[in-house]
Amino acid sequence: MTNSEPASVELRGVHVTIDQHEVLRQIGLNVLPGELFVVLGGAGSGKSTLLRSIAGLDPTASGEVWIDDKDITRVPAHRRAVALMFQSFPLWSHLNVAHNVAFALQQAGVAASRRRARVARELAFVGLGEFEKLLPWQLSDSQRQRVALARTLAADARVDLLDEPFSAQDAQLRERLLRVLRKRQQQSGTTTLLTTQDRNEALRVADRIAIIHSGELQQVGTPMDLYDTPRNRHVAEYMGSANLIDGEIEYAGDQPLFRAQNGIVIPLFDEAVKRSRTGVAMFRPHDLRVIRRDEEPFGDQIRFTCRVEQTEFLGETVRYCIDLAGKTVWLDLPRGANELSLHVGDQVVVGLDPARIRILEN
Amino acid sequence: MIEQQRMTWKSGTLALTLLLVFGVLVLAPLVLLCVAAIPANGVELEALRRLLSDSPVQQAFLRSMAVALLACGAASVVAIPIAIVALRCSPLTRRLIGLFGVLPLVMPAYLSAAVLQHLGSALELIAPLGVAGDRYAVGHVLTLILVFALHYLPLILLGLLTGLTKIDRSLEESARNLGAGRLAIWRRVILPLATPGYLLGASVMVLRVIEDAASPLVLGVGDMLAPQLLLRLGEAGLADPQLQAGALLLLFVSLLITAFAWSALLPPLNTETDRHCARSLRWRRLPGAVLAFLPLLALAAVTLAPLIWLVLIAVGMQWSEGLLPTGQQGIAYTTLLHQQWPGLVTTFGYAGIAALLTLLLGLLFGALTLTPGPIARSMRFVATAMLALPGIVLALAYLHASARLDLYLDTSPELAWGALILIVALKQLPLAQRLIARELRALRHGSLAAARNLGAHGPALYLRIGLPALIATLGAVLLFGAVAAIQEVSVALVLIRDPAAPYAVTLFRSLQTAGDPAPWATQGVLLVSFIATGLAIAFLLSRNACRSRAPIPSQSPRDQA
Repeated sequence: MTNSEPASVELRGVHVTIDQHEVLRQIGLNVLPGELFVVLGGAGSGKSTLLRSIAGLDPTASGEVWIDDKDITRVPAHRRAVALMFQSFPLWSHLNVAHNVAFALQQAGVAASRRRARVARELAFVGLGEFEKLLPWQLSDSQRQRVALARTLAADARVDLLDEPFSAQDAQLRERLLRVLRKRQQQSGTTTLLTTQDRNEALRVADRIAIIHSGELQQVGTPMDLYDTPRNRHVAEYMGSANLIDGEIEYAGDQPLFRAQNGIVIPLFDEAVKRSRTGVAMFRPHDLRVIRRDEEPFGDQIRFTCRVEQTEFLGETVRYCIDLAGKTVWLDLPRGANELSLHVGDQVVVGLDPARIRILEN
Repeated sequence: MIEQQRMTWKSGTLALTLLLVFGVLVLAPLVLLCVAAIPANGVELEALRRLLSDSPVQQAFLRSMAVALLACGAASVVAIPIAIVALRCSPLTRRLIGLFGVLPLVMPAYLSAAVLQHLGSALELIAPLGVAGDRYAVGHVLTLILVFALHYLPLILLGLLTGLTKIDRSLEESARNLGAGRLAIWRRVILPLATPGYLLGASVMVLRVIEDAASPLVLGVGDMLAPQLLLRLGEAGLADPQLQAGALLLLFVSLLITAFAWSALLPPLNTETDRHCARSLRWRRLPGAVLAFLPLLALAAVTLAPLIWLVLIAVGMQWSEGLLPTGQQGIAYTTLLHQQWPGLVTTFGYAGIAALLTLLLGLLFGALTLTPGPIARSMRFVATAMLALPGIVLALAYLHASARLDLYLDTSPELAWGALILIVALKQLPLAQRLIARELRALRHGSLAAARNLGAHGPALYLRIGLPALIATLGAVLLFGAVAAIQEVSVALVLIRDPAAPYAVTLFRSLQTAGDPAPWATQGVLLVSFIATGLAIAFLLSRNACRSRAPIPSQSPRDQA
C-alpha cells in the first residue's frame, strides 16, 4: 500500500443504496492532490458512506470513483491504495497495539526492523508510545481511536480517509491532534478526506469543505466562502450560528426588499435575490450591533428595537436571544473593555448592515 | 472501563466461608484420593509410575483420548463447513441451523449410543445390543466416536457459529482496506478471532467425553478410562491401585485440558461486537435457495436421525428382515408411567433439589465474583475449575473419604444422594455462575443504577427491579440444573446403591439388557421428552433475558467467554 505521490480523488454522480435506502444521491466531488478536504454533516447524513464508497466497501449503485486519471469504481477494496480510518475504530483483538498498527506494513512486505521503527513513530505521534504491547481491550475508547488513527497513517496510502477521527477525544487532546495532523498532512502532502460533525474542527483544518445533508451534497468551498456565502439554510447552520428569517422578495422600483413573515422590511444588496420570489434571509449573530443612545446612525444601517429574552455565556462572547418583532434572533457581543452588560427584559436598539444579509435558497 | 465496587466485609466473609466449604467438600476428598494414590514414600511413587505406565491403565487412557480427539475431529468436520456456509444463508436459515444444531443435546449420549447401535445392527454393520466380540470391536468404537461427535456437535457448531457471526464486519473491512486479500483476511483476522470459541468448545467436548462412563459401557467398549473406573470399582473395590491411579490420571488430564482452554481464551477473543454493535460479518449470499438450504438439510438429517430412529423403535412391534418395523404398537405409556412412577418421583425430587442447589451456588458465586480483588478472583477460579472436575472422580473421592470417616456412602443412601446432588450442582456451577454474573453486571450498571438514582433503595429495590429482571435467567439456570441432574448416569452409577435409583440409571440398566428394544426405547422417549421440554424452556428464557439485558460495559475476553 505504501505510496508517495499525492493523488486526486473524483466522484462523478455517485449514488449509493443500502438495503433499498438511498444513502448518497448523485455526489460529484473533486478533491485536489495534497488537499485536506473536510466533509461536514450531521449524524446519518452519509459522510461515512461517502468515505466507504471511495474505499470500495460500499458499492456504488451508479456513478464513478476516480483516483488521478484511473476509474477505480470496480477495483476491489484491497487494491485501491486508500486507507480508511473507521468511525467505530475497530481493532483486531487478537493483535496487540503494535501489530494492529503494523498490519498494512506487514501486508506490504516491509522489513521487520523498518516496521518496528515506523510503528514506534506512529504511536508516538498519537501519544501512545508506551502502549505497544497492550491488547485493544486494555485500552480506553480514546486510546483505541488513536491506535486506529496510527494504523491508518502507517499505511502510507495515497489517500487517507479519516471518518470522525477525533470523536472520542477530549477537547484538549483533540486540539493537539488536529494541529499535529494538519502539520503532518501539509508536510507529507497526502490527500486527506476527513469527516466530522464539528464545524470548528472543519474550519480549523480544512483547505476546502463539503457540506452533506441527507445524502446530498449541499455546497463545496473554502471555509470562508461557506461561512460568508452559504447557499441554503443547511450550509448556513452547519457553518456557524445563523439567524434565519423566512420571507418574500418584493421590489420598490429596482430596489429589492425582503419582507419577513413577521412584517419587517429590509432593503437588500445581495445579487442572488433577483432569481427568486421567496427566500430565507440569513445574518450571523455577530453581524448585529447594539446601538447606544448617543450613537449616530451610519450608512444604510437598519435599526430595530428589541427585548432581551435570554443570555448565554460562551466564553469569549456573550450570546443574547432577543425578540425581533416576534422572531427570536441571536446577538453575539464580545467581552472585553467595551463590554456591554444586558439583562433579561432590557430594551435594546440593534443595528444591522443590509450588506451582511444573505438571501438563501428556500 | 467499569467502575467496580470493592467487596464489603460481609461479602468477603461469605466468600471466604464458601471457599472454605469448597475446600472441605471438593478439595479435601480429592486430596485424600490423591494421597491414597501417591504415597509420600519414594518407592511407592515408583510403584505409581509403574502403575500409570501399566498396560491396562495406559491403554485405557490412550483409548479415551483417541476416542475423544477423533470424535472432536469428526464433529469439527461436520461443524466447520456448516458454520462457514451458514454465514452466507439468510437469518431464518441460520436460526434453523442453530435449532438443529442444539437438537442432539435433547438425547443423552448413552441413549444415542443404544439407538445408533440398534440402527447399526439393523443395517448389519455392528452387533446388536448385548452381543460382544472382537469381530464387532472396531464397529463399536466407531459407533462410540460417532455418538460423541453427534452429541457434542452443538458445542463446536454453536461456538463457531456464534463466534463467526459476532465478528464485527468492520474488522474484516479494515483488513481489506489495508490491502489484505480474501485469503489474508481469513488467515490473519477471521480464523484467529474464531479459534478461541472453537478451542473452548473442543476442550469442553474432550472433557465431557473422557469422563463419560455410561456411553462406552452401553456399546461394550469397557477398556476406556472412565468405564474402567466404574468396572474396577465393582470388581476390586476402592482400594484397587489401578482404580486410584486411573482416577488420578483422569483428574490430571482434565485439569490440563481446562488450563489449555483457559489460556487459549485470552488474546484472540473478539471483543468488538459488544462495544460497537456494528454490522456483523456477512458474505455474499449463496446463489439459489436450494443451495442455501443444503447445510440445513444435512444438519437436520444428521441430528434428527437418532431421534426418529428412537421413536421408530419405541413404536415398532415386529422387526423382521427389513430396516423398518413391519408392524406398529400403541406405546403403553400409561403402563410405563405406572411402573416407573416411584423412580420418576425420586428423580424429579432429586433433580429439583440439585437445580435449587445449582441456583443457590450460581447466585452466590455470581454475586461475589462481580467485585475486583483476590477473593473474587479465587471464586472465579473455583467456579471455572469445576469445568475440569470429572464427576466420576469426585464421586470416587467421596466414597474414599467417607470410608475413611467411617460414614460409608454404600450403606447410607441419604448421604449418597446428597453427594450425587452436590456433584451435579458443582458440574453446573461454571455455567450458572457465568449466566448469573453477566446478568447481575448488566443489572447493576443499568436498571438498578437507574432505580437508585430515582430514589429506590433497600429490599424494595431488589424486589421491584432486580428480581423481575433476573427471573428469566434464574429460571434458565434452574432448568439447566434439573436437566443435567435428570440425565446424569456416570456419577449415579458410582454412588447410588439404592433400588430407587434415578430414572436415567434405570434406563441405563435397561439399555444393557439384550432382547426387545421397545421397552428401553419407550423409556428413552419419555426421558428425551423431559429433557427437550426443560431445555426448550431454558433456552427461551435465556434468550429473553439476553434480549432484555442492558448493554454490559467493557469486559475482559475471559469474562465474555
